[in-house]
Amino acid sequence: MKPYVRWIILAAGALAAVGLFVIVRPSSEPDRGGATQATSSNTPSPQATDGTTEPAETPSPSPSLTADVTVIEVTVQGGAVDGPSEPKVQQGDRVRIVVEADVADEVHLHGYDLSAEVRPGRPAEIEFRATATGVFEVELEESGLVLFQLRVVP
Amino acid sequence: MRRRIAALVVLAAAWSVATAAPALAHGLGGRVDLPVPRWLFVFGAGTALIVSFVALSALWTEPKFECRPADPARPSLLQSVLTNRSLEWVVRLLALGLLVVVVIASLRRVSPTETIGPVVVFAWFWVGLTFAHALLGNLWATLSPFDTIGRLASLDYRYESPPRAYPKAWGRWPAAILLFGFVWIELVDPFADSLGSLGLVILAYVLITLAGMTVFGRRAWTENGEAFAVFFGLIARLSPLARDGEGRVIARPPLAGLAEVEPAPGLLALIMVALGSTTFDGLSRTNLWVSNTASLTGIERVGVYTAGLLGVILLVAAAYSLAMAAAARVVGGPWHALAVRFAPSLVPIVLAYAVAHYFSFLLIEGQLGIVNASDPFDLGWDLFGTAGWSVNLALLSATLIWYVQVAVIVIGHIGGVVLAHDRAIALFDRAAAIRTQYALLAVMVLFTASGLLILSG
Repeated sequence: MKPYVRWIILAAGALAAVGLFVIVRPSSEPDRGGATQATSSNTPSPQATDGTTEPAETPSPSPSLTADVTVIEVTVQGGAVDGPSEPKVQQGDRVRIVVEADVADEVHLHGYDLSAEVRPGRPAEIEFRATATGVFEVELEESGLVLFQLRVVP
Repeated sequence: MRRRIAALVVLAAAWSVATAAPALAHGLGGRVDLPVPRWLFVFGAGTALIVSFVALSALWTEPKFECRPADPARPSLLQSVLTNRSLEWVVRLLALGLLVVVVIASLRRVSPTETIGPVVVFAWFWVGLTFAHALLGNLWATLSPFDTIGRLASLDYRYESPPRAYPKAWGRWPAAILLFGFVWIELVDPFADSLGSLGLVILAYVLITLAGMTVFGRRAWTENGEAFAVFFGLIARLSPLARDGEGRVIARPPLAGLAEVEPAPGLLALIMVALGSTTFDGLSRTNLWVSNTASLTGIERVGVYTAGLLGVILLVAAAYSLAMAAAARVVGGPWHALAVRFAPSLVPIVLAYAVAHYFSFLLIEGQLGIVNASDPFDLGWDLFGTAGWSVNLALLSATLIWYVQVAVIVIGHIGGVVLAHDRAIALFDRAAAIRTQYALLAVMVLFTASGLLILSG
């Protein structure tokens, strides 16, 4: 094989890889606003009365942050989990996790490392802003029961 | 006398394993990377295919890595620092001191994120040192506290022969089995319910290592039985830096070191454990796995996870063996000999898997080590003023993580293809070499694609 043939093959390979990248890449990045609409609609927030509902936690509300809260509710009964297994929220969203259970335990959101007590008749509530992307497990700490995997997407 | 010590050490090791009430990695890994977008997966897998075809038709025809002349060691100021014996011992004793701190911290019966123990073991040591070895060469040869203990206990048997000569047939099997033990504890987390177990596990490993060194001598055990010395040593072969026979630092092309790996029994098993365990870790974090195992607790969970880990390792081994059997039909001869010969070309893929799966873990969860360094034993200290810091979960954007993951998987694939090609043309004539590569490239594309698939699932 002549040396130049080798270079042509290498160049063709590189070109093919670049071409593949251009072809398979989605034509436009999915725009943030539209996706937020879609995800927060899975549980409409009851307290969208703006202004009064946001306590001191967000002292300087920037325009991109809405007063909407994405609520994720699950119920634990007899060791079985009823609720979404892989709920998706947008990065920057306010999220409230509500867990009802027929046992006393501690609900733990890994990564963000937030916990709340749950008792029969007393649901646990964890509310936070999803600043970091990733997949985060929510589990009952004592029993080790995984409730769901929260996906925070960019 | 020595035999009695060895018996005592083995007994003590057995005792500490049996009574270990050992809470480990999963408490640490609270955050998992988002799945790679489907289009990026298609791009990565497609590129791996293109690379493979280019390699078949256009790579060099004379081996470049095999039988290279020795690289010269150049004298320099840096050289004299790196070969300074006193400095070496300062580093050794510091690393030994760190082991003591980590063991004490890991024995504390508190949550794994509270002390410096688990984060140093699973993020800094296991992930961080793997990456560092690929870049800087065999650091563990100097850092290993196990090796240092062996030297301090004069288990070198310089003037006599050790009680037993190391059985050649064992090869690297002890290291492969112990590495499996480590990934089992990391990924299956069998002692999750008993806090402080990690400390006992480390102590047990120290005792096993001491026993091995007492019976077979420090050098033989380090080469064959000390899991991390063998694993890090293999990864260090990728590095452009190495030490020559006299301990001087030399520079060489990256990957070249892998051509010099001597085949030994168990080496392939060790590589399969490394490859399979990372694959299983990815698999066990997919929603499919998590939602199907969510309700398992206690011994059931341990059983299912252990079966999963073993199953994935065996699947990886089966795929590789099958490809080697196909290649052996082409060139003749036993497939097993061929499998051992080509094993080093899987090491770049091992590293690529590790980087893709764990680099965000190292950079994000690893921050906990900086926080906990101020309060290593969870006693309320603030030695360096970092105790009040918290982990920045948003350090790396999801897009950055995706691009890095796909890039390293593809680069690892290129490394593997290049090494396999080089070895094939060194072993066989050109036509046969090309034909052995079909099967090998197929299995590498399979590993790369399944690595990407798990990242995108």
